[in-house]
Amino acid sequence: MISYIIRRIGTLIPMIFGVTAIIFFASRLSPVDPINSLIPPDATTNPENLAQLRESLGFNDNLFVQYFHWLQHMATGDFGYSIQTGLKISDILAQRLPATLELVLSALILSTILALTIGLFAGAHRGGFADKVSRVLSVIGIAVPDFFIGLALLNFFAYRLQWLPTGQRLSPENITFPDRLPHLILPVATLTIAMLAVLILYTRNSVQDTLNKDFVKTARSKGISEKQVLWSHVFRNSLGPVMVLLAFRLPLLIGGSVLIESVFVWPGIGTTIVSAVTTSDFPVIMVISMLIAVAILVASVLVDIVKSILDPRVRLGVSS
Amino acid sequence: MMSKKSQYQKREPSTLQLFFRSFFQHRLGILGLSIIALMILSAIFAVQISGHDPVKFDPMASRLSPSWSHIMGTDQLGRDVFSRVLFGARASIYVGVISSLLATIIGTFFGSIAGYLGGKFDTLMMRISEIFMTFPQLILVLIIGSLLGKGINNVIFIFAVSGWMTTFRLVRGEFFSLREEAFVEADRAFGFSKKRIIFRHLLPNTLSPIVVAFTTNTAIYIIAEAGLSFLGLGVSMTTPTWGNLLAAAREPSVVDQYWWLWVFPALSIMIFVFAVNYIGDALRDVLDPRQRTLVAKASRLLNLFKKKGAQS
Amino acid sequence: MNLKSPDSILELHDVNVKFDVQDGSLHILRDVSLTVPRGSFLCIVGESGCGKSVTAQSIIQLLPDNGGVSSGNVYFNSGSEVVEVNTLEKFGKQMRSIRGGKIGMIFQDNLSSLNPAHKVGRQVGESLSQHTDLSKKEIKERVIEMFKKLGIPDPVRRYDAYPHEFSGGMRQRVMIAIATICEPDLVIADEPTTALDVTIQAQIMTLLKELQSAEGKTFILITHNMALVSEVADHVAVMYLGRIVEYGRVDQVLKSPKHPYTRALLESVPSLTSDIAVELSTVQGQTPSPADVTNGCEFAGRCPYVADKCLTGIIPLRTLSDGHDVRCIQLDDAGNLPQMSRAGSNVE
Repeated sequence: MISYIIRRIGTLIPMIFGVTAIIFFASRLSPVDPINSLIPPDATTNPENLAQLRESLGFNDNLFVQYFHWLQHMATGDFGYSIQTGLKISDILAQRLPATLELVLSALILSTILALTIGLFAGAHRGGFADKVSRVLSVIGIAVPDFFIGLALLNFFAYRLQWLPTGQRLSPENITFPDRLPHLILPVATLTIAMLAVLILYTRNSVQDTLNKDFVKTARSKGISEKQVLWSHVFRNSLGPVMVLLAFRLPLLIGGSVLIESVFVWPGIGTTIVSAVTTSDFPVIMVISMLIAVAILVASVLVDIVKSILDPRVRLGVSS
Repeated sequence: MMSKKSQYQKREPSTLQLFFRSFFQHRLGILGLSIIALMILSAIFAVQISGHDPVKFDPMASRLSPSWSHIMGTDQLGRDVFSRVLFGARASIYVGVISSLLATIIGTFFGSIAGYLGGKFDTLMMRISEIFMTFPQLILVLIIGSLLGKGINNVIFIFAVSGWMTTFRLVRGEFFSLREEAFVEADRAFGFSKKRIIFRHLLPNTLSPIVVAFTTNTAIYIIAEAGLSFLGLGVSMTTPTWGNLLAAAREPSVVDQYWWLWVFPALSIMIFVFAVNYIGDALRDVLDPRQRTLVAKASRLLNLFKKKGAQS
Repeated sequence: MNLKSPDSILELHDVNVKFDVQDGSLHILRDVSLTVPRGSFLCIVGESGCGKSVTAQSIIQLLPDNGGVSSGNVYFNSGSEVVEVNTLEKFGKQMRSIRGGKIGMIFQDNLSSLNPAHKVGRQVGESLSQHTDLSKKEIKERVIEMFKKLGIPDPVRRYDAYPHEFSGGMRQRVMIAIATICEPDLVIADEPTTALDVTIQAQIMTLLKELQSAEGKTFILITHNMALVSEVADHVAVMYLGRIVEYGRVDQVLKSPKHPYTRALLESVPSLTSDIAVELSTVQGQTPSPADVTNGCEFAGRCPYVADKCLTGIIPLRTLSDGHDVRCIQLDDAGNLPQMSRAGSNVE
C-alpha cells in the first residue's frame, strides 16, 4: 500500500516538470518582457537599472538555467508582480483564492454527495424516480451551457422573486457566515447543477455495469438480501470508475468556475484570470495556470490512492 | 424442407443499406437530423427568412420586446435579434463543426499511430495528452488565446489544439485491442507496410466510435464558443455568434429586464446541441455492428451466458 | 403433492422461459421437463446457446432482468416440504433461504464470478452469515475448515487473500466453497471447468464427484464436454435449442443414443479406444437462432433423417421401451431410425 503511494507520487514529479516547462517556455513566447514578472513595475523605468537587474537576475543565462531559476522562485512562493496592477501576485492570490476555493469546494462536495446518492439509486432501480431525475438532469447538463443555468437562476431567484442576492461575495472580514451564506447559494447551486449531470449519469452507468457483473450473480446465489448485494458488492465496486471521473472533472470544475464567477461577479481566481487575459497581464496568467495544473496533478494522485483502497487490484498493478 | 433451408440463405442487404434503414428507424436520430438541417438552411437563408438586416442600427427601436415585426425583439442598438440569431448560427456552427473536425483528425491520427505502434511513441503521446488534460480546457484556451489574439480562425485553432485528447485516447484504445486481431496478424504476415495496415485496414474498423466522437465534440465546441464569447474573449464582437449575443447578459440590467436578448441565443445553442447529441446517439445505436438485426441480437444475448471457451 | 415421483429433489414441468428483446421476445426454453432423483448426478449437455445455463438460472430464479419463466412449474423438494420455486418472489425471504442455503450454485468464469474488492474468506463466509446464526469467529473457522477440505493450501493465510492472487483452479475451489459451505441438498455447477487446464479440470471434477458420493448431495452439472459426462454422471439430459431432446440414465444415453442429434454429438467426441482410422464427424450445419425456428422439430434443418412430418407441429417427448425419453417422431418404439433420407451425410 505504502509502496504504491510512493510509486504514484514518483510519477507526479516528471508531470510537474513537464507542465511547468510548457508554461515557462510559453511565457517566453509572449510579447511581454519576462523581467516584468519578477520585479515591481516601478523598478523598470530606469534602463540602466534594468540592464543591471537583468544580469543579476540571470536573464542572460541560457533558457534552461533560467527555467530552473524560475522554478525556484515559484516553489518558494515568489510569484512576481502583476504588470497591470503592480501588485505582488502572491498578494492577489491570497485575496482571491479563498473566494474560488469556497465556491469550488462547496460545489464539489455538494455535487459529489448528490450525484452519488441519486446515481446509486438510479442505477439500482432502473426506471424508478431517481432514474428519471437523473435522465432529466443529464440532458440538461449536456445541452445547457453552465453560465446559462446561472443566468436563469439569477433572473428567477434574484430578480423575479428577489429571494436571494445576485451573488457578489462578501468579504469574510467582519461579516458572519450566516450573513454571507445567501450570497453563496446561487453560484454554488449553478456550479453544482453543472457538475451534477455527468457525474450522476456516470455513477448510474457504473452501478448498472456492476449489476451485470458475474460476481453479483454469485452474491445473489448466496441468498443474501438485495440491500446487502447492493451495498457490499455493487456500490463499492462502482465507486472506482466514479473516482476516476471526479479527477477528470476537476479541471472542468475549475474551468466552469471561471464562467460562473463572471456571471455572479465573484472576486475569485476565475475573474482574475479573465481580466488578466483581457489586459494581457502575462505574469498573472502564467502563475495561475501553473497553480491550477499542479493542483489538478496532486488531486489526481489523491484520487488514485483512494481508488487503490477501494480496489486492491489497482495497487498490485493487476489489470482487470 | 426447402422452406427450412431458405431461412439460412436470405440475401443479406449491404452494410450501407442496413445503415440507412436502421438510422431512419431511429426516431430521435431523424428528429436531430431534421433540426440540424432546418437550422443550417435557415442560417444560409438568414436574410430572406428574418426580413431584417442584422447589423442595421435603429435607435428608435432599442430594446423592443418580442412582437410580430421582431419576433425575438431588438437589442440596445435596435438590431433585430432574430436575424442576429440566424447570422450567429453561421459563425457558431462553423466554429463548432470545423474545430471538431480538426480535433477529431488530430486525435485520430496520433491515436491510431500510438495505439498500433505502442512502445515509446505511445508513452510519449500519452504523457503529452495527460499534460494537456491537466489544464482546464477553458484556461488552456485563455492562455493560447492571449498569445494569439482574437479572430474566428484563432478560436478554431485553439479549440482543436486543446480538445484532441479524448478522441486520441478513444482511437488509441480501439487500435490497442484491434492490433491483436487475426486479420492484423495476417496483414503483418503479408508484409504490408505499417502505414497501410494502420490507415487502410484498421482505421475503417474504428470509424464508428470516431464518427460518434465527432458529433459529441461538435456539441462541446458550440458550448465552448458560447462560454468564451460570453467572457468577451472569443470571436470578435463585430461578428454575431450565439456566444457573442449571449455576452449581452453580462450586464445585470439585461439579465433582469431584457430576457429576450439572452434567452433566444441560449435556446438556439441548446436546441442545436440536443439535436447533435440525438444524431450521435442514433449513430452509436446504428453503427454498433453487434446489434444490427434481431438474429444478431439474439445470439449476442445468448453470448451473455456463454462467455468463453464454449467452442473449445 | 404435485411431484411426479416422491424421490425427486427437483422437478421441472413444461417450463418455458422467454427473454424480452428490443423487437419482441425470444423463446429460450421450450416445455422443459426434468425429474432429478435425490442423490443423483445429472448432466445437462448441449451446444452453446441451447439453453442449459438458462435452465440452471431458472431453477434458482437468477435469470437476467429481461428474462422470466412464462409458464410451467419448478418444484423443489427440500425433504420436509415441496416448494414451487417459480411462484416465489425473486428476491423474497423464502427464495433467498433456498438460494445458497438449499441450492448452491457454481459459476463458470471464476475470475469474474468473485468480487475483486473483497477477500475470498469474506466472500465464502457471506453465505454462512446469511443462513446460520454462527458468530464471526465460528464462521471464519468453518471457512478455513472448508478450504482445508477442498484442498486449498495454507488456508489460514488464504482466507485474507484477494481473488486475483489465486490461480484459476484455486479460485474454482473457492467457488465450490461458496456453493457448498451451507451444505445445500442440491448443487448446480454451470460449466465449472471450462476455463481451466485439462489436469485441473480433472481435479475439480473428482472433487465434485467426491462431494456428491460422500455426502449424498444431488448435483446438476451443465457442460458441453461429453467426455466429462461419462466420468461423473448417472443421468444425462441432452438439450437442443431450448428443448430437452433426450433424457435417461447415463448408460442408456451414452451407449445407445437414440436422438439423431445425440448420435451426431457423440460421434464428434474423440475417444482413446476408437480406431484411429475412423474420421471424426461433425454435426452438420449451424445451430439456428431461437428466433428462426417456430414450427416443427428444431433439429430438422440439420437432421439427416428429416421427413415432411418433422416440419409441422410440436414433436412430443416420448418414452421408449428401454425407459428413456427421446423427442423424435422418426423413431419406432424400440428406438430405431428409418433409412437415411438425405444423402451425402457423415452420419451413418
